[in-house]
Amino acid sequence: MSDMAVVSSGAGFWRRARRHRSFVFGGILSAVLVGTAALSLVWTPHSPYRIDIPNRLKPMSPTYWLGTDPFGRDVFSLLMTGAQNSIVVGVVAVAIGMLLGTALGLLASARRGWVEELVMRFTDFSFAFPAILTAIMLTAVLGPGTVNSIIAIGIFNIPVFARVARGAANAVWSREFVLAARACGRGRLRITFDHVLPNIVSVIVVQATIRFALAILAEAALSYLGLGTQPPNPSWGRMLNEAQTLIYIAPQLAIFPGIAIALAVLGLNLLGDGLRDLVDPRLIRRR
Amino acid sequence: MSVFLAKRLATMVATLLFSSLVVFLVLEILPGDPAQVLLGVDGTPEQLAVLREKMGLNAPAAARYFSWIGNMLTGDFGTSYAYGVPVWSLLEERLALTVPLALVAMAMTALFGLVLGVWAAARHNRPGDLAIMGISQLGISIPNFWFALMLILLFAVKLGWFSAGGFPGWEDGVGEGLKALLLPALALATVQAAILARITRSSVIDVLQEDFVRTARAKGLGRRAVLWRHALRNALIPVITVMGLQFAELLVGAIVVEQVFTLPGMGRLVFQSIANRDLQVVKGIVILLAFMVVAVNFAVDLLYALIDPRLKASDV
Amino acid sequence: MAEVLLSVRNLRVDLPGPGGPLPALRGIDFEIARGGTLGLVGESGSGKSMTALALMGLLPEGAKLSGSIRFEGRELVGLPESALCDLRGNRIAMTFQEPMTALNPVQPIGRQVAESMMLHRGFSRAVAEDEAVRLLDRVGLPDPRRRLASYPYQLSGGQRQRVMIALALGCAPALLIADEPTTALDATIQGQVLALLRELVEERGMALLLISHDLNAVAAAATDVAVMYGGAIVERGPATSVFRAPAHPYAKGLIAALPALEPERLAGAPRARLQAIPGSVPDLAGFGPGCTFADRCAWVIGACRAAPPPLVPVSPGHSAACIRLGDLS
Repeated sequence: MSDMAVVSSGAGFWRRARRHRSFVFGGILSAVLVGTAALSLVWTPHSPYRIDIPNRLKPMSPTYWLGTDPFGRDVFSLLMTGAQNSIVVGVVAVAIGMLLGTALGLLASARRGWVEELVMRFTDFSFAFPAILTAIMLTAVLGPGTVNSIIAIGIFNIPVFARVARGAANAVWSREFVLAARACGRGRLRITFDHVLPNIVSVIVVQATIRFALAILAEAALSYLGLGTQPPNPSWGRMLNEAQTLIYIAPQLAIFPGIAIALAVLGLNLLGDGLRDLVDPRLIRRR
Repeated sequence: MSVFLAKRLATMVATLLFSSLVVFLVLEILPGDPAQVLLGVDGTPEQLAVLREKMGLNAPAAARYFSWIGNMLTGDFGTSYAYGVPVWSLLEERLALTVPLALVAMAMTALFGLVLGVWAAARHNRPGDLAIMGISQLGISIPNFWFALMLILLFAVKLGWFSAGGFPGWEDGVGEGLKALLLPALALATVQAAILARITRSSVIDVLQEDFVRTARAKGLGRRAVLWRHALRNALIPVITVMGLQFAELLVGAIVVEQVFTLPGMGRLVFQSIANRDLQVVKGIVILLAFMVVAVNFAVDLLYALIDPRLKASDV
Repeated sequence: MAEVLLSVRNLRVDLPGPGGPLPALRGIDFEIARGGTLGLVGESGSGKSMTALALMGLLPEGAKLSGSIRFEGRELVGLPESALCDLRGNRIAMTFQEPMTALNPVQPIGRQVAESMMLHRGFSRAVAEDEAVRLLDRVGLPDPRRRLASYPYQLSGGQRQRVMIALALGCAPALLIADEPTTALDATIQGQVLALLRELVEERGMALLLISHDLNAVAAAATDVAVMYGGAIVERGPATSVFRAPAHPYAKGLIAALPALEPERLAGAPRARLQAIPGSVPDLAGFGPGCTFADRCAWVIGACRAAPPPLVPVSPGHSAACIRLGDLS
């Protein structure tokens, strides 16, 4: 674990990465996800907001690639715009967890003793606590909406990153160059920023990729339950919620958003797995 | 062993106490006056004051917290504001659905996850293994509530083998009830089985590289015999931890899947209660779920001690 | 000379490597007589354990095996897995270096010792466990009947090694391969375990392939010695002859580093490690086509690197693989 950063910064990374099948496939899927969301900012085949009752529940056709929903909105355009929502919620929620969690983990590792004990007990506790239920409670208290679902998901990422960061940081703290820096009289804060943080970045990035995938799943679940993104803003979970009541009339509406979620999550999972293999020399041997 | 278990027990109690405090505090800031909700918009301020007094809402927060905890220890979860019945009787009724649902899903998870994981490990890096790993990668990426919808689409809408939702209750016989739980349990189990298969596989592969496996082979045991008689029990040790966590995931995941199948379980109850500001019920549900999660983890620790003899003696 | 039990000819093992197959064994030859003890000496990475695994048919996945292994008149190379299973633990048994990890941590030792007897001799569990008690008693485990239910973690290192030996003896094998039986043990226990192995060889007429990097252990127990370096046997012969007059530069270096050869004092003697020669064993990919020892040899000449040197006789039954033997003595 302690050699991760050394390995990942090598020039061979991209050469090995190109040969890693799940990394490449995951990278392509993730790029398509981000690309679609970016494209939808400037162009969609139809407006995802325009209600057009005469053209409701159209089947797939050259005009409406994936058909229309009960309000006559183009499903393909809704899916494209929905990607924005998934990415925003995922990125912000993971960023919250990553920043606060990594900070806590670094603190625990730098101070050890009772601080570390306290942080670890906090993470233990949160792992024993049903996450979705608390997210439901939080959104119930704060009210449904994108921002509140981001907060709810973000909170559960804090202990995850705290654990990962502490584990990786503890390994760095025991290495020679850190001991040397300490012997030179450097403060813990300086060492943390100069030596520890740069060496655990790759571990954190791997974790962030995987957590991003889970955040997209969680957002979809909250939106499906009506606690996440609210109409008229398109979101994949919400689309599934609306599709369910029409499952006998227009089953296709229930299919496409799920495929979009699954592909996005699959892409990020594969990317994360690939990154971990490429960055962690211990796992390479096993393949 | 007893020291190990005593430590675990202490952690369990601490976790539950802390959970109860968090739940209490979170719901304390929940906007909306439960007395007002109960009374409706027509109530007079005098009626409201009387009701608040009767519901014990005027006592200081700390006092209310401790009386809530104290009552729960005696099995009294309070009275539902909305239904006027003891919370426990509501929970009991819903647990009769959610717990069997989670159990059926757990059985499916264990069956598919363990069998496929071991099967894949025995074919490490061969086509069967790669196929299972590919499928499980997909399984992990699917949202369970969407998979539930797809099951409804296939088995209820297209084939008509199952109803699209609802629950007949256990009165008409266990068979009918189980049938209604089959699709929801499958939806819940798919993702967890995919995760379990991957973890089982890598655990078995790790164990198969251990020295004692080579010793067993040197005795003249074939690969299959070594796998079943020697590797599996060792490989199960980490797998069981995961299964404990998964049971918790299934219990809580049931909240979402119950919505898809319109099953009257804990999930439905928690949504209704939040909408009704029925705090006693919400608190009861959260604590009960937290208790079940922690209890399952404790049971896993007990199981550990049974499987791994090294733990039995560790208290001397 | 006694009847030949095991005869290995031109045994090669190639392991899959990132840049093509890596030779782990480069065509080795040796024989073990019925009831004889061959000590196989070398540093880690020299191919000792690979030789043992090749004999057992337990090479790592992807390894390529060629040459000939004749055991009790039967060719083992190319034998189907089921036939090998019948031999393993039955006619050929093996003990492993780390008795802690080599025993199943979650199974009582009684079952582990009984298992091969149930498999090969068709014993019921009860009969096999009775036999296990006798074997555990023979290898010197105190209170064996009660110990059947013990788990490996409850035993000391020496006791675990005794259990490993009992486990291997279950079906009265004609050949016992002991891979570093003393390495993980304290000095005093080492002597006891070696003495036990010697007794067992004598009383059962069993042949022993004793693999060790500890020259003292080999000197104490072996009738014949083969010295390995870089996947090749560089010298072999009767133990007395090899230890008295080593011929190959590598063997010379090893034996010169020994303090004194008095097997009787062995129990208390400091362990002679094979590190007295400058340099270290290169990895498998690092060897050229010639003599594997060329890079560390003080007498190296250009011709050494051209082709692998053949084993040439130096005295009756004693030969060494070096083209400069004439210049060395």
